[in-house]
Amino acid sequence: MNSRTVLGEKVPQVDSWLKVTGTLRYSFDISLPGMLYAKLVTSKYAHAKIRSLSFEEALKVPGVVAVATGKDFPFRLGIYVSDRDVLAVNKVRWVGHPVAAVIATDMSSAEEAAEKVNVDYEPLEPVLDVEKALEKDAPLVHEDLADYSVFPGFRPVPGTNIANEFNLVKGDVEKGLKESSVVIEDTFRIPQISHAAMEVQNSIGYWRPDNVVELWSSVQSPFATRFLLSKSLGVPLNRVIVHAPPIGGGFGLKAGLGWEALVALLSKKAGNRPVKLVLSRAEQMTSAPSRDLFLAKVRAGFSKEGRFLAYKAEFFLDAGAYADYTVNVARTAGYSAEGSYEIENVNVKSLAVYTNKIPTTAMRGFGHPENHWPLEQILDRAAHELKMDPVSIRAVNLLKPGFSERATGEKVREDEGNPEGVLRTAAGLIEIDKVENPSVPWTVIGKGLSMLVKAPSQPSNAAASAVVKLNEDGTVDVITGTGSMGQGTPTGLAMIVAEEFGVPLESVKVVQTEGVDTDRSAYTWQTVGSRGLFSDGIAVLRAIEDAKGQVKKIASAVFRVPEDDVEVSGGYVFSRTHPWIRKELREFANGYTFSDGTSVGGPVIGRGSYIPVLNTFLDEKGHGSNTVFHTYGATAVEVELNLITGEIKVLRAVQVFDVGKVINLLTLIGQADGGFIMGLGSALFEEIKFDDSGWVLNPNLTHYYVPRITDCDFEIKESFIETPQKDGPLGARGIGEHVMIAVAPAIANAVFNATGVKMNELPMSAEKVWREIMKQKPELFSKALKSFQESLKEVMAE
Amino acid sequence: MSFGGPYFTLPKFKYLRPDSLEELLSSLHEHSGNAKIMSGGVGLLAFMKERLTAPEYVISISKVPELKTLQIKGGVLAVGANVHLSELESGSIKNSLPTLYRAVKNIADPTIRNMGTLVGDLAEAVPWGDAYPALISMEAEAEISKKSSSRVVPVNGLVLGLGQINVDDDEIISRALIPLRKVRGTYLKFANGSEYGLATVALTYFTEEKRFNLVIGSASETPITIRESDVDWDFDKDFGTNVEKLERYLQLNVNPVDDLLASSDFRKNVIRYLSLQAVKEVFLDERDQN
Repeated sequence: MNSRTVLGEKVPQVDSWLKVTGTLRYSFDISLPGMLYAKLVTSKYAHAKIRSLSFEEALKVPGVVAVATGKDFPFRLGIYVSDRDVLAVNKVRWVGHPVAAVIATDMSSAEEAAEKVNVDYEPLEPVLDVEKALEKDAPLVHEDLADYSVFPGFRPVPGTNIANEFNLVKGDVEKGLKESSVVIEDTFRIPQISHAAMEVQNSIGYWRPDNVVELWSSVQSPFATRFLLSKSLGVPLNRVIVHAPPIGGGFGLKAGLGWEALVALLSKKAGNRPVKLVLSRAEQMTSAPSRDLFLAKVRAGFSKEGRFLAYKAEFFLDAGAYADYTVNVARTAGYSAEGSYEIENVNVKSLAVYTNKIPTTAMRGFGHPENHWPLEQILDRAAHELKMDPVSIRAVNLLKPGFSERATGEKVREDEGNPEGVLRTAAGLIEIDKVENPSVPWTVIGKGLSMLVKAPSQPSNAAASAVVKLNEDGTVDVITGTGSMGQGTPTGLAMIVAEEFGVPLESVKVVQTEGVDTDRSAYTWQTVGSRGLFSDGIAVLRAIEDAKGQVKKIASAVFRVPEDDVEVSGGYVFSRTHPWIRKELREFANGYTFSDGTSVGGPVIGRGSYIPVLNTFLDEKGHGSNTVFHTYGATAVEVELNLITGEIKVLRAVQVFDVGKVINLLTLIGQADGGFIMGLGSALFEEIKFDDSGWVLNPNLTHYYVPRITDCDFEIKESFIETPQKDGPLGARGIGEHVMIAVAPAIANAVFNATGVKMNELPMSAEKVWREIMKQKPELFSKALKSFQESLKEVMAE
Repeated sequence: MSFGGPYFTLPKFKYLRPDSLEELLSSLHEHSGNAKIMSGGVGLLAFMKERLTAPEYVISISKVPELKTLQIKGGVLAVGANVHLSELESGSIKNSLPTLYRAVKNIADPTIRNMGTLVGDLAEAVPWGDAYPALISMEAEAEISKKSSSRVVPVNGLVLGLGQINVDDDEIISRALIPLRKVRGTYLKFANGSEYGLATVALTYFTEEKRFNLVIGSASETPITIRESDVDWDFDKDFGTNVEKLERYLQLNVNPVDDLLASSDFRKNVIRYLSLQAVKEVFLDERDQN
């Protein structure tokens, strides 16, 4: 035993060895005796009635067991709005909508048979554009919206394509705009993007003969999956078992309910044999959800001193065919639209809108990469108009912990963080005022920064729990509900436990590192929203306190001192007043046994739980209190822009976050770097492209490009500020999503500051930047080209 | 590579792995029209998974010793069909065949280059391939073998269009033959948001003969070759004037495709940029060495 502290150190993930040796078992690796394989038959139309469906030929393929259609499974699914079907019933809502599933003894036969399922469609007029979907006579994607069940606080509008309407109102925005010296008005757009997790979604369902539904699935949040499945299928919660092995990347895609209802029902249909569904990458990108398309029309007013007087915004989130989760993304984009700033008058309307495109769901950042894209560019544009610099205009408007109030009416806590410190650190590290000379005259170097803030967007009762068990050799087992998806929570929890008991890190096992299981793990609401370390961390600390209390009680009898005189730390149990009376912690693990064989106490099992305090629903004006912590951050970049080709190259990046308390420095650096690169992908490259009929044109990682290591030839400097959150675990806050939120606006600001060219649309591909240069500042292109041509002449003249 | 087919499995096929060239050519003869040749499988397996091809036989060349050789003979570098791309990333290739070296470095990533081959990249016959324009610019030839005979043809013209190649079903491109002459060269690829170049430029300058081939790839179904004579390039004249001629030629004669990766006018802009960069690199090198 030792008392060496590990907190704040660089500690590799506890499952690193299993990962790098290929030993960790993912759900994809699991095979059960008698297991069957499912293959989806998907829609070729964006919007069509299913006239008839025949599968006699498919059933003739050797190995085929059954074919299921939507009519077999009349259930509705969804977390916030139950707008999803298991398989299409009566009509299809997007190209890729699963209409049937073939079950066979092997994948090959299932694929062959799937091609022999004939569907007769009657095409309907599709709606593929978010603004057209809001027109009066637009075709309806969901005629039965009124009949769907809805979570409290959400407001679908039946008879329209509006899946949710959210409004945030503070003060009088029109008055604020009138009083403003500078008004920035523009339209911003972000396309649908893919989570592009390395592991595609895959699930095994086993509807056992005893009517227990067992699942092995690539899910982030097994308890939420269990709850939603139980609710949708009418099976009691304790007759649903969700096994959630570690997942190869989630990013929100695997939150909530995925394909679990389908595979469970297919298993039942196939005579209670286990059925496995593994999506191909193309299916992942056409039949499964992506991130929403985001359209923002904004007007922002500033006083001549740079005070943010008014923000009027309309957000339209194209939710695609299903908005079960995106209704909350839209709500979140709305209530957090003011970002890190105190704005005097706010009027934000945020709509989640159905269209006949691929459905959408949660994704890392959850509405914040969306709402920060316009907000953080507006500030630089206003600064430019007012002849201010990007740091000063932000500093003037930043929320002030202990004083400010958000537009929701929520007070900004004193211990919430140090936004100004974050801003100034980022500006300092990127040397925002230092002008850099480009290597060649046809490029320019620009610097830009963007602030960010985010809180978990979760229900007011998003709880967590933990169990801590001492073993007789001094090791400790920790049971939580948060599994491993590369985010590092199990390692962070292990470090907290090692620290609190004073045992070596290697002595702590977080059982859920190798998978969560709803029968055997402790409850946590979901592994989303950067909440894992915070919520589970508090629960674990409380479980440690509970376990220590049990040890103290036993030690009090052993030492013959009062309980409150007993201290547990550094791997020892001792009397505070008589510290020479001490024993090793391990001696108390299963109760204490005296030298004569008599014993006291019993096995030590600590339990702890957590639930947010004083959180409410938000009312019609968006008012209420719905957050547990906010993490502030800033991303700053130095980029080189080729004025001839429009190509943006990041030269240097800075990531600064107020994390409250550094638990694992290595995880933090990994998150900051990985998040930057993920943000870089959506900033420069990523876009799901559709044709006029709603077909996805790039359902593959060849033409849907995510950054490769060869795109990351630049330095990222990470810096972490520690303003402890009083009720956080050892003062810590979450960080998982924040790392990618500000990347795109920081790059756009760098382009703007170097050239004056405004980038309203993502991705900032070379072609798009080139077009904007040609449209907004053609003289920059001509000058650059001329200097390039001149450079060729010089070569020979020398 | 992937186009987005929904399949998870490969179509059924029989796998053959001959131990000699003779055996390979016999197999190819026997199963002509029903067989595909595989080395690393980088292209073929992807095509099969997409159901773009479903051969009855897949013939692996991994155990054919004759196709594994990389040798210099009679002023020619012969690159066997089973020579992996990573084997071409050597210092000597860099010095003697800079166009080839740079093209290879631009293909996919190191792990794929350990599996894929130069001949495979050529045989895939995709307009965005990197090997084809580079080989054309170097004036390479292809040795094409079948059971009873073999022939040598210029690489230029071998690819007819997407997936179409001037090689019969019972034939294999056994070797790429690259002349070793005094050259300078470069290969530039503009890839932005894609695995593939939305335009590439291969430039090989034969210093003794004072002529060059500038080959534009990824911008049309088959590469566009521009020779010094096409642009009336005069090595005795002012460089700036020559560059202007090249620019004018590109402006008038190069009309790139419009597709998912880029529009025609943007490609045209990029092609000018790459071409001028290439010319600059190749001739700037010359000046430095003089």
